[in-house]
Amino acid sequence: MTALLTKSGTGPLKRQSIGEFEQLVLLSILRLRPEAYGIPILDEIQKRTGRSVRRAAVYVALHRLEEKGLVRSRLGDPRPERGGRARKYYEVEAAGKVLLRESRAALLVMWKGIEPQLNEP
Amino acid sequence: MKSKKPYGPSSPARPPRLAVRLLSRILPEEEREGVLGDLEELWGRSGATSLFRRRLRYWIQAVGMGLGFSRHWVVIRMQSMRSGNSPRLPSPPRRNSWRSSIASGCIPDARWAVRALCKRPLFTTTIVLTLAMGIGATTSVFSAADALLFRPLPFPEPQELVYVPLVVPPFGGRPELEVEWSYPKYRLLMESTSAFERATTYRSTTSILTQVDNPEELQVELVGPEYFTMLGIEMVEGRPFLREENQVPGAHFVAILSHELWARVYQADPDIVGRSIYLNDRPYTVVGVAQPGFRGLTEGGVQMWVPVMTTPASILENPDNHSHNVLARLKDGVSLDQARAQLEAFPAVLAAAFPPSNPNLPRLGVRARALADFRSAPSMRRAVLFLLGAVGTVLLIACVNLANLLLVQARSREKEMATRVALGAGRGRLVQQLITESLILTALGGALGITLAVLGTPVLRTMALRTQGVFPTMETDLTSMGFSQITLDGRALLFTVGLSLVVATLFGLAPALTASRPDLTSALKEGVRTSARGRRIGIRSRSLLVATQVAFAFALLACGGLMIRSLASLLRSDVGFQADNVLSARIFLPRARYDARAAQRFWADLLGRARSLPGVRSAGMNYCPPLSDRCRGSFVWFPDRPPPPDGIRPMVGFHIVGGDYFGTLGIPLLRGRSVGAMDREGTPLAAMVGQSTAEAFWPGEDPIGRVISIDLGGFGDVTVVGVVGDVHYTTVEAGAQPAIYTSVTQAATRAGYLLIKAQRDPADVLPSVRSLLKETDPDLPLTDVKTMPERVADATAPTRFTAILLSLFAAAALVLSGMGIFGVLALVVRERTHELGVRRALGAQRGDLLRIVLARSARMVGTGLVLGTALAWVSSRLTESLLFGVRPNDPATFAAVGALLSLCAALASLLPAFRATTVDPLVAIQEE
Repeated sequence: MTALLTKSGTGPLKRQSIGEFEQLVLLSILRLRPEAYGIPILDEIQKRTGRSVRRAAVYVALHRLEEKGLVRSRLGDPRPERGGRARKYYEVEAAGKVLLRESRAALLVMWKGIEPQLNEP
Repeated sequence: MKSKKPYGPSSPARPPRLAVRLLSRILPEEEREGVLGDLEELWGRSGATSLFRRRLRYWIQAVGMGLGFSRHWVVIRMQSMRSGNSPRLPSPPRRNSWRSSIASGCIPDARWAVRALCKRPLFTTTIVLTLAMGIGATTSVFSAADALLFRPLPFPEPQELVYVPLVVPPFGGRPELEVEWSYPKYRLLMESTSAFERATTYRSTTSILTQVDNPEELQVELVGPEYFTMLGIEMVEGRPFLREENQVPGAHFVAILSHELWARVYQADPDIVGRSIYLNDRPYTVVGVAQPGFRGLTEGGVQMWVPVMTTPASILENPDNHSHNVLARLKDGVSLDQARAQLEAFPAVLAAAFPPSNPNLPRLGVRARALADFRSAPSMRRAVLFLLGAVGTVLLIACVNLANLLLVQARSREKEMATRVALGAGRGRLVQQLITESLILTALGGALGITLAVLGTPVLRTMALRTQGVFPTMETDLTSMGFSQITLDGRALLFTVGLSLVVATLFGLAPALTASRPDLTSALKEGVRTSARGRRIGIRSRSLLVATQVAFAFALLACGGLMIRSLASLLRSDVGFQADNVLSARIFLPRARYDARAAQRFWADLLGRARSLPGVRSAGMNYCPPLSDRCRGSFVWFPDRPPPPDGIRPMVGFHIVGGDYFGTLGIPLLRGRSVGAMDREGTPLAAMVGQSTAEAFWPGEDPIGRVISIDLGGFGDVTVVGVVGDVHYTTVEAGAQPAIYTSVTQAATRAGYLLIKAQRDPADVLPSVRSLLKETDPDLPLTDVKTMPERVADATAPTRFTAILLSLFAAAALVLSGMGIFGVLALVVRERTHELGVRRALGAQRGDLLRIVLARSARMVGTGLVLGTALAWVSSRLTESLLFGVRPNDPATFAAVGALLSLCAALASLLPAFRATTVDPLVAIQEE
């Protein structure tokens, strides 16, 4: 379970968790690999979930995920259509993948046998 | 890039720079590249929509992004604060960036400051009142200065408008003169210069609007065809003058009405265009009505415009009839200096075309001056600028008071500051906290100051309006900015807000810096009220501040005192006539119905009947009343003397009087007899002269029987039959000018002032005078009706106005300095309670203690007085042009001001000194 502990050794060991939105962001990165940067990540989430997503929320989430060590980023080449700025491409770290799997597994376990209940009036 | 770049560095439309800059400051460094790049990429993709929508979208996204990341910071901070440590804090934001301020700065600071200020209500109230006084007064005077001096003229491109006068260089001891043009000379100017895009002449004249229910005297401007287009004046009805209406003399009698006249006399008749109106009984066709508010370029405002070509040909063709003003608009891209340079060649052209009659006369020059220079009389401009300086000084004193009080405050909070520093507060944090406090104080003071200004501005306006006669330009709406234009507008408010901010930072900073550097060891020691070092420095710097205040107050009081003394000597000065119970009013006889003989008959008839009206003691007339500055002058020469070597003849005021003029105004007859009814046509022309005129022309000789020749209107030789006392005809300050009087029975005038001496209140006889005029000629209006005391009051109004305002400011300065002195001494006594107690215990008498405190006060005030004398010495020179009958460095005024300040200082010292004598040694020593 070490991967679930914080990378920093300063705080008390604590089980890391991610929210639903962060999961969406991570999944979106995995789907877009290796061309995952801010704009397509947001587009992907919107396209697949049909939800309207605030742009700032995506970038803050990416920032938070990177701080937590769940994603890593690299800068591409400067591009004129971006005013000479580079794209920041994201990849999911191993820890991120583990967390995703954990979340999925937890959800599946919890979902087991629930669906008929939801269909009840 | 292979493809053509739709965006990028060279693309014309870039994302809003401000948004980019702000966002890049908020974003963490590691996110800047990605986020800003993505936003710009999206910007490029939205190229098809309008620029406005793209910008708006960018801003929305940037703001959302900024808010999102800011909230992220706050959450992280709060989490780390709650857990007492940081699991893994993100790279910390830069210190003092506003992102950190949002999280931890301004709002708690402000809350803390309000709490701190509420705890010290006396201190807060004093500061807020001090600032309100300073800011309120400054805003009021600034709004006056703005209206009178700074606000641009309400014409399109006003900086291109220039007034072009002819210049008569100084000669024969007379100063330089700016004069109007004659029409032929103006034509020459237009032919020989290319500096102007267009130009126009205008001259004003008075005419009577006849064949209406109430005939009235109008000020009419005779203008060139370009006049309205050049000034950008719109017509609400009809059209401006056409070019062909201004080409042939005496061909088109058309008129344009002012909006005010149209509304008042013609009830805003929409069918006015095409109607005939009568000026001096001559019909004119109305072709237009000018936009509301425009009242021409002539002082006092005009009610009607007619083409310059309606002027009699004798005036238009006379190259020496200088009565046309010239206004021009500079060509695009031609500066005023360039236009002046282009005009330099003109005097030679002018001299060649119109050689002067007298070769000794200097050659006429020409000048171009910005029209804005004429918006207010130079005397008013000087007075307003001086007042602005004075009120600025009041504000300065208020600021010094503020700094002083904040210093006192800082001193008494030394312990609080030391505690906070000891607990780890950075100096920057403390300064930020203290500045927040002074910002809040200034905001309160500024708000109250604006309230004061809102109340004070109308007072200023009414006060100025009462002085109407002196500021003849006051009522014109569009050209000369008069006092009626004084309003508190956005500019004045902006000025106040800016002023408050500067005050807050400048005068809050020094005390904040001092306070944020406490002497930890002594400040924190139990029982020691304040550190010795701080006390020494604090009291010394505060004493210096108070001395500065006293110095500024001294200078202001000195200037105020000088103005009051000027006013007193103005009111005391002998103007040469008795104004009591005298009524004066102007009558103008139209040329069409009154030739010279008819005018003489009119005056004789009117004066004879006026004398016998009930309540009237005597009646007279003159072309112009005293103190009106509306008199005519004439060159004179002496037939029995050789002509002066330089060919320059003396200029004398020429008065045509009738009835008992001298008796009505109490002007004493000193020698000989008065001119009057016995001087008729056929008898030799008789004249009287003023006393100083007689002494100047015939020193040590008897003037009676001497002959003098008058140039004006070819009047010719007159014999002096009497000498009267000198009268001030222009202003009180200017003194008596040379004057010569002839009788209306020998020299006709169609314009004149009727002067009636009433037995009691002159207002009582006004109705009967009006009905008398109506009986004599129902078509004649009585205008410019004023009592002579009113004219005297008008003549002293600028001085009175300045004196009153300056005294108010000086009083404010006095109160503020008193407060400063009191504040410092109170602190001295409080901080030295222990020492005073010990002295008392060791046997010092009350008198000794009193002396200690008073000596401190004396030192402060003494320094202030010395500095103040020097300051007043310099600043009173600025008042020199406003003074009358008193020298700028008048020792008596300075001494009186010094005494007043010392008295005020003594009063301010009394309470603290008394407190010092009542120190109980036991209590004082126990306190430590």
